[in-house]
Amino acid sequence: MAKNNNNLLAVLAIFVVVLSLISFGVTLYKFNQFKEQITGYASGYVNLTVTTATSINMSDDRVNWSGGTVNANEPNATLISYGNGAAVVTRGNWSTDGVDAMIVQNIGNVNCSLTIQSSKNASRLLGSVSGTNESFQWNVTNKDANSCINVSVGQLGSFVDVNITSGGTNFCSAFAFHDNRDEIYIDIALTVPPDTNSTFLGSEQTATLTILCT
Amino acid sequence: MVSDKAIVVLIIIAILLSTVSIIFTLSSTSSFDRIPQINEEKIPDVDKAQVSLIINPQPNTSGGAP
Repeated sequence: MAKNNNNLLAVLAIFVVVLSLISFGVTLYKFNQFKEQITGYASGYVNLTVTTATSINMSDDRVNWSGGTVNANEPNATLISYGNGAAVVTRGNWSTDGVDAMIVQNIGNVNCSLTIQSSKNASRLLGSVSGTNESFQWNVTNKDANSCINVSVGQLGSFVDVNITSGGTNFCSAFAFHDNRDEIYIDIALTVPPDTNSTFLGSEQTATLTILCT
Repeated sequence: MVSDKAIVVLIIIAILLSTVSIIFTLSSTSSFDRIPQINEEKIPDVDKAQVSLIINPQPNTSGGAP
């Protein structure tokens, strides 16, 4: 009886070994077949590059103060744009008519990093002989709430000196593209000195802002 | 007539083969996490804006010619 049991066990053991071999072989074969189907090649990786185009639009791309003068006996004049139709001039006679903030809209289909650089700083734009009582600042704010997210601390919502160094200032690491939260204002504040160099007087002085969306 | 030892050896071989098969399957399928690799390439956009003003000379307040 014990002999019969041993023989039966032996047959079963051999059957299990053969079954394991077949199972291993089938696994190996099917795996290689499956890998070829999903990768297109028997080894290596699928490397897929999706190209997305960033796109910004400026519905208002100019802050133009036209002509004016610092009031007599004043240390300076300040010219500040505040969003739409709320510009303010103090101690000077520049007109605020038509002076609005610049508006940048992300019209692409992907968030982008927003960087701004100016071609001129205060001294190059306003030309104070004494080098005092002049400033040229910008202030980036959300026109639509949460348009500019992941902001560097202190960069959004306050007037700071413009940046003329290469690369400019990064205001938004993620400038959103979603409807109703894809627009920002760029406001400008100028402090005009009373002692502007004569070569600057009477002619239009212009600074160009480069807005880069990457 | 098959000895007990031979049966044990056969069963151990079967267990080893099954173990190797399972390890191979697991190690092979773990590489699926790395494929496909999708990269995003953005094309940047640049726009220009201008700030301009004219600073007129202050009028002469000394009273002018006599």
